[in-house]
Amino acid sequence: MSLGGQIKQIAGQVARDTISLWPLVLTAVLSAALLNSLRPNPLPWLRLSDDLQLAARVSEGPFPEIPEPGTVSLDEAVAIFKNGEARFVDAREVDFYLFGHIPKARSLPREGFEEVFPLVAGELGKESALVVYCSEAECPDSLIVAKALMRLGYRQVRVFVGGWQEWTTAELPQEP
Amino acid sequence: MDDRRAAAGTMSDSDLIKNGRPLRLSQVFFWALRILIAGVFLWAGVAKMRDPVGFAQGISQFQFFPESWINVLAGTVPVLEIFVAGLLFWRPWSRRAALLGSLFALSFALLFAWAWWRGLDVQCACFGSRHGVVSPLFGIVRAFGLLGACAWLYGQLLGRQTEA
Repeated sequence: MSLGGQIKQIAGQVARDTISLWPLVLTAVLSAALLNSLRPNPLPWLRLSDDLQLAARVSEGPFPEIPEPGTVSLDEAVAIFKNGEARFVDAREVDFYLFGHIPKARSLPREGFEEVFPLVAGELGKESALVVYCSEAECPDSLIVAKALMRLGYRQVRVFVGGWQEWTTAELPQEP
Repeated sequence: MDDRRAAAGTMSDSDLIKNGRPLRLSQVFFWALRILIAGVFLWAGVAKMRDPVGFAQGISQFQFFPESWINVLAGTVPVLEIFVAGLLFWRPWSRRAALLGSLFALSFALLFAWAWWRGLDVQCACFGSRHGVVSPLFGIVRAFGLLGACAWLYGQLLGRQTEA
């Protein structure tokens, strides 16, 4: 048989085998559903967005629909830092916060949100202007924490997109 | 008859062992790879099944699937991975299990390529959620390694079952 014929034969066999996988996939879906129903905390089939999940850890809701939070550039962050018009919120893990953060920033990590949020809620009123940051522009935590705060009723929340990396690269003040 | 089959290389490995014939190096490699691939899929499946929430977060980080698919995938993929591990040793399904393993590996490679293209640093969640951020390039290389191994195994099983 020619090479082309052999390739065609193998491709046909792969296609037939792929189609014949459907009973396995169906069994897996049914098994997953059964196993999930046996879990103490079953995974909901429809997943809540990350910010809604965070908000749901500290409040029963209902949670409002929210717009995308506004963003803050480095220059704006520096201006906010100098005039103190908003409070910085550090969404990174606590270890990173302890290693260094924007002066007077409040730690509110995405990991452990449910433990720290009650303390933050006692400290910051819902009218407080907040600027949330995480490690750098690609990290999702600042946006998720910001949106969770908005779901929980905080109205003036923005995200400092460049985050800690941009702040330290610009050699701006830091604590401790 | 057995001598002719052994000489032709069409005797099954278990028949070779029963007849006291030594396994060839390629057969040892075939079995070692089969066990290794099954071990990888079993480990991956069990780790994900123990932390479905972490795995769902891991899938979510790729920003590829619609939100409504994520928990369905987080529940189903670990079960399928465990099926792959087990079925690799059950003759009627071993070839298809190797094929499914190849399709998984190809999907992982494509997902990491997507993350690389988007400039995302993702937590792999390949073996549970506690394995830190991996570079997409490393993820692609690893997935192609698994793809190569699964595809080779599929080819071997296809050849053997066609001969039998």
